[in-house]
Amino acid sequence: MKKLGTFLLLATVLVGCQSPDPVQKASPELQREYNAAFQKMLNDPGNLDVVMAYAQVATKTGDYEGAVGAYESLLLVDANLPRVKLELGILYYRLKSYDTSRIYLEGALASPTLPADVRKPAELLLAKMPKQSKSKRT
Amino acid sequence: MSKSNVAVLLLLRALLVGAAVLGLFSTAQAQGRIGVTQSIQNNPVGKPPGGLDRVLRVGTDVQADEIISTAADDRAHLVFLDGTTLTIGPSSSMTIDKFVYDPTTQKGELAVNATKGVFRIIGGRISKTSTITVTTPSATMGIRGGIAVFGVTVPSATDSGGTTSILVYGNSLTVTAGGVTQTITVPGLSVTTPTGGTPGAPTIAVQGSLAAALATLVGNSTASAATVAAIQTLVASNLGNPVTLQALIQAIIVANTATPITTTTTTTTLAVIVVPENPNQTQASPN
Repeated sequence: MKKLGTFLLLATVLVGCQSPDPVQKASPELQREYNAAFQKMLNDPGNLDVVMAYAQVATKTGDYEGAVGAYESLLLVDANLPRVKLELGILYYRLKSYDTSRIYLEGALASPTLPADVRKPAELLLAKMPKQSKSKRT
Repeated sequence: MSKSNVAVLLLLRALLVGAAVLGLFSTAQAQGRIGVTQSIQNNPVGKPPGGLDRVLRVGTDVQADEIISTAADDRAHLVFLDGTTLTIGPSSSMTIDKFVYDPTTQKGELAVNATKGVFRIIGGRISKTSTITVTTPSATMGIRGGIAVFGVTVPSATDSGGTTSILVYGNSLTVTAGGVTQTITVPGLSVTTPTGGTPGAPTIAVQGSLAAALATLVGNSTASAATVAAIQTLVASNLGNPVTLQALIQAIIVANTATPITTTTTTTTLAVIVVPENPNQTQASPN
């Protein structure tokens, strides 16, 4: 059962990484959920619950760029949000934008109000971070 | 006709006229609205076409041809109807030249003219099928399906001015000036174009320059403790418990290892494509 769960999780991640427009490739039900969450955010952009709900469904759909946009908007409210930076670090890692992922993860770790449960995942991702620009020189 | 009947008729007429006015108003608003201000710091200003300057607040609609400017400590984050987001840094000025979007086909056009400052564009639905165009005094950029950051400086006594373009994520970012086009296909690379010159070859963004650009696009730490706590709680709930998060991160690492980063680009090498004025002479060379 545990193996099945891991497989499904991995499959979800893999599918999300490869799709050029994941929203159009999502199930009709998920597309409806995504569109409804997006419209709600457009009509109530200052509502944190609504913004978070959109970020969550965008991530679930594989629209990591959409989720990035939502989280980035929160950093205008306050730059010292280590959990938001961890989320952004994870999302940019999923997008294989490693230089940017590293910036956000290091920013999270440098936060004076770093929560204990943010440190471990941030450090784990940083340890596995490919050196993007240099590794591309083939 | 009794007085009470006349009063009812007048009331009905007033309601009908009011409804019509409201209907017209909402239609005009719907036609003009191309996006909304999602987040701000201090007092970014928008000037809609034919309108007066107004301070952008969270929830303020933005329109096509609107000029948006920020002072030294202002920032704005806009979200467009197709899901594209545009973050405008301090001391910046730009115009939304064109926004056309058909939600049924999820296709359209977006063009922005940036005269100075720092900007980040995160492509939405439009960028999946069309190129978003960003024009500055020194270059024209095209972004296809991705995220890019631009820094635009104006000529001064100590600086010739120019545009720095960084591809953060995506398939490609083209930079054109003086009849030459450079194409970035690798995230983390940048192209610099001096005013009146041609774009240089894509190079790895100078150490710290991407971080510095991104740092200008976040706000000061000025939110109330209650707001910060609310955001942290909501994000913590999105992230899930530590065990789930750990499993998710392990899965992401495995997934990215299984699919090398070169699969997201059109080439397996650091490609620099120089396009002379005659496209038939296009040549590619490794940097």
